Amino acid sequence: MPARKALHTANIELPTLGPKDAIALLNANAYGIGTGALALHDAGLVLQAQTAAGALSLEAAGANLSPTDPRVVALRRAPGQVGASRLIRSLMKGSDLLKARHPRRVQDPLSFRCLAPVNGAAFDQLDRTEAAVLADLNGAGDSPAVLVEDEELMSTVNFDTTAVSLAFESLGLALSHTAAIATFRIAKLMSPGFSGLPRFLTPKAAGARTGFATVQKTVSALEAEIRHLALPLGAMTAPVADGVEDYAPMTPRVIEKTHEIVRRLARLAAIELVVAAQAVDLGDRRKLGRGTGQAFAFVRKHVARLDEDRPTGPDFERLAAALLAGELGAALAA
Amino acid sequence: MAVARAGAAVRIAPAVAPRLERARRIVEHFASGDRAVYGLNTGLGAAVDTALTQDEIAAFQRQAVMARAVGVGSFLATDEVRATLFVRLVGITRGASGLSPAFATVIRDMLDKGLHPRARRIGTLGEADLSPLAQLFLPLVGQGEA
Repeated sequence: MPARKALHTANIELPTLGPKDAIALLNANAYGIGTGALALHDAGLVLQAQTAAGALSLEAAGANLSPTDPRVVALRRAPGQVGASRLIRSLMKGSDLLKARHPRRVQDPLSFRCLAPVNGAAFDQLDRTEAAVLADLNGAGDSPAVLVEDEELMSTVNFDTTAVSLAFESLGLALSHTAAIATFRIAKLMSPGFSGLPRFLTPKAAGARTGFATVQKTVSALEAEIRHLALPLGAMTAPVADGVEDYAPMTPRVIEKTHEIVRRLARLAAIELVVAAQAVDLGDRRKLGRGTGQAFAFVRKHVARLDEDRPTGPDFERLAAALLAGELGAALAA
Repeated sequence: MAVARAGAAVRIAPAVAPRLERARRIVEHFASGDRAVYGLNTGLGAAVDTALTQDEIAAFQRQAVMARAVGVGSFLATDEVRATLFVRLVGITRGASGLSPAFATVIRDMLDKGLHPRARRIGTLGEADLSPLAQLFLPLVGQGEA
């Protein structure tokens, strides 16, 4: 409806605009910072879900957990890796895998082994991006700005959000790395040579059943789209305002595309959770860790095990919506 | 997040009002003076070289908001509208904007009463989000849809 009518209905009276009021309302980055905060919130949930999915894949693969042993992690304190290793160990607390004296392999493929440093780098970038957003959220981007204590009015360049733009670019790139290794883990779990499980995790191997084979296409498409969206937008925009404004960081679009990455990553995490849960079901039933057990229960609350072929797209959408609503995060925090 | 997605109520702390009043008096002091201040008694962007007379300053505010409502493309989602309005309100409460204090209350009321103006996404470069903010504040100049 016309906003004039909406204001009247809401009983909001309009004051008169005085000097500077227009620029005082408009000269800020509230759209970029507001949508940035929403994107960061979702990114935190998705990265946590993806790390839990990775840990469930480690369980399903009977992986060698020595790369997350605190003693070897302490040899190099890479940003994010220490925390992610700790998170993975805590998710797997109580798991039979942690007690295994003779793991199935001396070394697993890097997509399994490097879960902590790769996802850790993304957690680290998430923290840095949050710091950049908070600086803007709690600051004033106005120009000119009133210096209340000095009773002065001065031009500023505090509307420039290059630091925020670069932080989100880095976050998007970091997330694209987590997407790549998740994609490889999913394919490995479906491959009998690696997992020792039926091909494409079909419980009844004989006949024309597809299992999760075709889901690989969805996974591959998601990873490709994420990698595409992670390409940097770059330093160039066409000059505007008759050349006075000859530079801009395109922060709102960078944030929007990072959010698009996050939404795709939520689907990828949902798929890995479902595939890893199926692999757990088909394997020798070992005791899962507390967190990986909760992740498994979260999957089975929303998605039944795949016995006969069915359309699985809706399963993944349902699970992605639940994890974006914070349901898995709440279960893991309980 | 609570404000953007769960409709939480917004309160402006009591310490804010005196700060906004003080900042506003400083703006009004400069508005009646001779010194050129960007956007106060000059045009915006390339029009920084154009002086505004006292008579023009009032009409200029309305024009400046309307002329910046240049967004195209998809509409912002409701959580994006609320997050944007909330972040702008937080910024204003610092006092550096020098906005007429009554408008801070209007923005709070828009959030609390669920008055969500429509705004289209494309048209800002991230050197201040003039286009989305101008669209969201069109109601303040009697324009726009909500």
